[in-house]
Amino acid sequence: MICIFRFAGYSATDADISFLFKKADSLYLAKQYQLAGIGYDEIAYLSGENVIKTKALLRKADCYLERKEFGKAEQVLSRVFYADLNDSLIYLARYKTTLASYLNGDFGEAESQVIQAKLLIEDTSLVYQLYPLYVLILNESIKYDEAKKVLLAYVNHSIADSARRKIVIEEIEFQYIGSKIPKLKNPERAKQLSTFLPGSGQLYAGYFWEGALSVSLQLGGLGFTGLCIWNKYYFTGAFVGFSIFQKFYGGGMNRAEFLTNKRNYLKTRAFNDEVKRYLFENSVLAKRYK
Amino acid sequence: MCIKPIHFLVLILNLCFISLGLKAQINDTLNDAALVQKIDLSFVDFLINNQEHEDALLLLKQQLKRKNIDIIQLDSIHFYTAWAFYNLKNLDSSIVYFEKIEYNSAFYLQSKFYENFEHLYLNQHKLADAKLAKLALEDSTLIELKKFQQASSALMQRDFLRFDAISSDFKYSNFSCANEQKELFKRKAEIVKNKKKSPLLAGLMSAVIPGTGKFYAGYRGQAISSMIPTFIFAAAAAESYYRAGVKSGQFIAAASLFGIFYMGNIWGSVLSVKTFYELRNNEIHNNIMLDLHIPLRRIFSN
Repeated sequence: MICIFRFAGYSATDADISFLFKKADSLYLAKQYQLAGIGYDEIAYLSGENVIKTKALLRKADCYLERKEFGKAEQVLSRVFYADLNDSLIYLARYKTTLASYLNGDFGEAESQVIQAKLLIEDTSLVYQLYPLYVLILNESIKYDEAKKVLLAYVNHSIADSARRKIVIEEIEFQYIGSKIPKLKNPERAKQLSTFLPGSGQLYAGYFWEGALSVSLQLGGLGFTGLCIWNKYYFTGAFVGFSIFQKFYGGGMNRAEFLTNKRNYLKTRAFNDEVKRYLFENSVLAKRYK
Repeated sequence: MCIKPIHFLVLILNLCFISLGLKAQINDTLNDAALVQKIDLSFVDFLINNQEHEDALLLLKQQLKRKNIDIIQLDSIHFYTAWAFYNLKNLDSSIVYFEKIEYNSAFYLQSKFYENFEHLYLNQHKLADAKLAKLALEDSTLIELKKFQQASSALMQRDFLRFDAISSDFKYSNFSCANEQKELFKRKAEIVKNKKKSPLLAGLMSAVIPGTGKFYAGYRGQAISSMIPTFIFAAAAAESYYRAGVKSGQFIAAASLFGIFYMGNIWGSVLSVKTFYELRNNEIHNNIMLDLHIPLRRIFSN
């Protein structure tokens, strides 16, 4: 621990690199993640070999993942140079980048990492190991059909026992059964519905009382306009009453769009969390997630 | 010898505190020892280039605890510390370390120019001016850069006389800052155009025709949007007055709403003069800062 950081003008040999790895690892085990990260970065700095640099960067990314600094982990992993790496290192680097991006909520980047891994890694058994994480990413991207296919492909590849495989496949089919998959509503359609029939957009989103309130307020505005005109308050009716109606009308359209987005989010969140719970608790699949 | 129980308890507690203190001190010493070695600063440079600024700062902080640091190492440590803080946009801390760099250091000139840039960014114009005045230079590029920073500072302070005096000396021969020197004249024209308007006049205009004060201040879209509700309530109040008389409930309600919008519009117009001026000023300030930054990056290549 005391000598982890080298003296000026120091030139690293293989033995030194191995020593530095041990020291950084010991700091990592002692949960001194920042110091360990510096240690790994020093190895990346000192070593002329890309393989060693990559291993050090992967460990540094682990330090950031432990500190829950997922964006920083992504940043460290972006420094990996893939040109002359073997399949297992490419897999590890892609896997960790995918994980960091997924945890950082950057699902587009996470999916892109998996696609690149599929293209670059020749050993398909390694690619299959990315699939459990890929399923979570596809679920978050609301690509349920693809997620199911990927999960089934993983099960077919990784469970040798046919009886057991059959049970897991049935469970997956049950998880992704049509009636369970959230039917998402179109926010644009909700807005259009509220444009032509006030309150119907909220109703379409599944918020009956909000729709009723929106209709009532708009009818109130129109009623006020009519009442004013009936009593020969033409200006008040035309301007004040109509302004009230117009404000609630515009607000109602935007609210319908917002409520549809909210509903979609809640439905997908509930479904994704349920699938995640199943994957984490399944005795066969859970191993891959630990 | 007889010890009272209370004395014994106090003794035990003291021993516990001492033991805990010693343990914490030992842990700190171990952590420090992990870092307090003479390190190659190019590693720190490597960390900074890879956006690992907090890691670089941790190393540098521990380096400052070392004994017998030579002056060259110390300047380097100060420079990299300042540079890491600069990258973290922690400018006041960065200035503290840039200031510590000695005249003989290889980092001295770069530090001074970045330090002044930071002062200007923080609107500490007088400090920047004083430091730039003391800066003795021989290199023609740096002389132009100094004039450029001085002229920018004068412009930020709206001291046009000083700006004209300094800018008349621009050579425009140096690629590093010639374009940005020319840009300063555009900024000056923008500042001249962005005249301070009268809040009183804006208020009066909005009192006569609601919304016109905002138009005068520069917020053209807002002028219409604030004019419409005021006129709507004015029309409603006039109608209620005509139909039901001054004591009617509908007139009192409409007139009250009109009064609120009318007065709010006047007050809003008064305030908008200041906000529009400051908004435009900030835009110009940001453009000057952007122009100031480009030559620094070109000259010092970072």
